[in-house]
Amino acid sequence: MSSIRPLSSSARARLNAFFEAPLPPQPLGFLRIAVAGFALVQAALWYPDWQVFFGPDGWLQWEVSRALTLDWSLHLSRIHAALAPLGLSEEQTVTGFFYFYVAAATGLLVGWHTRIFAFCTWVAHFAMMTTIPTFMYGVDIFLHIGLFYLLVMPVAKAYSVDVLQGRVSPDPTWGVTLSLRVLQIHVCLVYLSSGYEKARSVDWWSGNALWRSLVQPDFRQFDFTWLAEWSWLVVALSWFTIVVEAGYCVGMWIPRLRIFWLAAIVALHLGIGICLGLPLFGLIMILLSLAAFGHLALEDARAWRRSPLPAGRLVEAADAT
Amino acid sequence: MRPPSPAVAKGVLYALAFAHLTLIAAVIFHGFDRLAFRRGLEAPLTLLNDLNYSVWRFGFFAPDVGPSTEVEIRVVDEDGTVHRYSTVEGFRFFSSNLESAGRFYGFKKESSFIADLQDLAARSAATRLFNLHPRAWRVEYAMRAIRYPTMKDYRAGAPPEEREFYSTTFELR
Repeated sequence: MSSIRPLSSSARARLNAFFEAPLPPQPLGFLRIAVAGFALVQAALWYPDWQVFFGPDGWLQWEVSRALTLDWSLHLSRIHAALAPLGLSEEQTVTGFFYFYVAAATGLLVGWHTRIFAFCTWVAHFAMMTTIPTFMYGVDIFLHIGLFYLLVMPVAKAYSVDVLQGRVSPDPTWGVTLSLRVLQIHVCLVYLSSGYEKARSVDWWSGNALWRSLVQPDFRQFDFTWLAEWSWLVVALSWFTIVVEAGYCVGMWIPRLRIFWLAAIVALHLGIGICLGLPLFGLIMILLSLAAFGHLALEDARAWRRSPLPAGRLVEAADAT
Repeated sequence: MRPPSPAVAKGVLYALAFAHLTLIAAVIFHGFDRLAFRRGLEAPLTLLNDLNYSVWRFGFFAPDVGPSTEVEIRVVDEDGTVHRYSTVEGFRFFSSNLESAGRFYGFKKESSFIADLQDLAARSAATRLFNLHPRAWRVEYAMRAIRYPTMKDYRAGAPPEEREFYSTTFELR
């Protein structure tokens, strides 16, 4: 039996460089602004219905939602009980909680005492997730993942008040590199998982899964039943989805493909947002991809602009004049 | 107690990052399917999920979208007036915008396959409607699954399959 050979020195050096060579922190600054800004936009949209979702007598009353969570979960009723000495009503606690969340996300957005506000935002979001678990969906899961990363990653090192006031150094470090790689690999795994699950499904290869998601009442925004007559188009869109998602983890690492792959994933999520009525879900997925790979795509585009024109085109230009 | 040296701290952070990504990869490729149901693991896995959703699979409508779950509610006033609310006909639970309306997808979907949740969700919705309609004495709550046929069958004239799978009634006495 052959023994496992150790990595060659050049492969090891490349691996070390990939995970350790200090990178500039701007992508993490973008991640912080994108995720915190997203949380604020979502909160603004939620505000008119806040009591209906989180209040004690909303669509899911506290007695019911508490029964759906584990004993140690941070349910809003427990926060209300903890604040009992202040004499607040249940509705006042729920409204106060909204302003606490918005204030924490705002502090995080501008990067002022970033770690503290990241913790407050994450805890508040955790309480929201556990208070109304049945009303949560993909957008909240990805927001929670994003907030967790803002809590543990050095996201204050760029575009932040902490840097302006000298509390945090903006210098590139291995910590930035490790964080960025974790984010990139995580996003790649998410799309690989999604593409893999679809590729295992006959309904996705036949286009029927996409067709049903467009025409069934759950997500229907427009009448797409006419697509049954254009089934080749649905099949093509289905295959496009599988290829773009499953191939994301390859396409995003190839400089010549990256910008096109990013454009394809943005188009995919815009389509989901518009056709299935999930605009915020589409937005957070686009923001996470931009945070992970946007700076590389930008570098690719700049490198293309800097690269010299091919000789053939120069001759044509000379002939034209 | 002295803090760990920078080299040790760095090693620990790299190890944690590696473990985090390995766990995510193991879960999405079904490596945790059996372990997740072991007694004693539910609470720690739930805790880990509450932290960062590293124990989660991202299917995005895969393997299939399943049937659409729709709710119809009839509120009957004391004078016999009936208020009918049907999600198939555009009822969005009085929500203010598309984003809030979309949140009821999980509410409907989960109560379609978690039997324990059906009664709780229906009771909760009925309580809300009694509060919104002070003159109501009766609320009827029904859930239906609607599944569209394949594109080929739809072209051949097959209608969407509709099946009521839950109904209940609440009365004030």
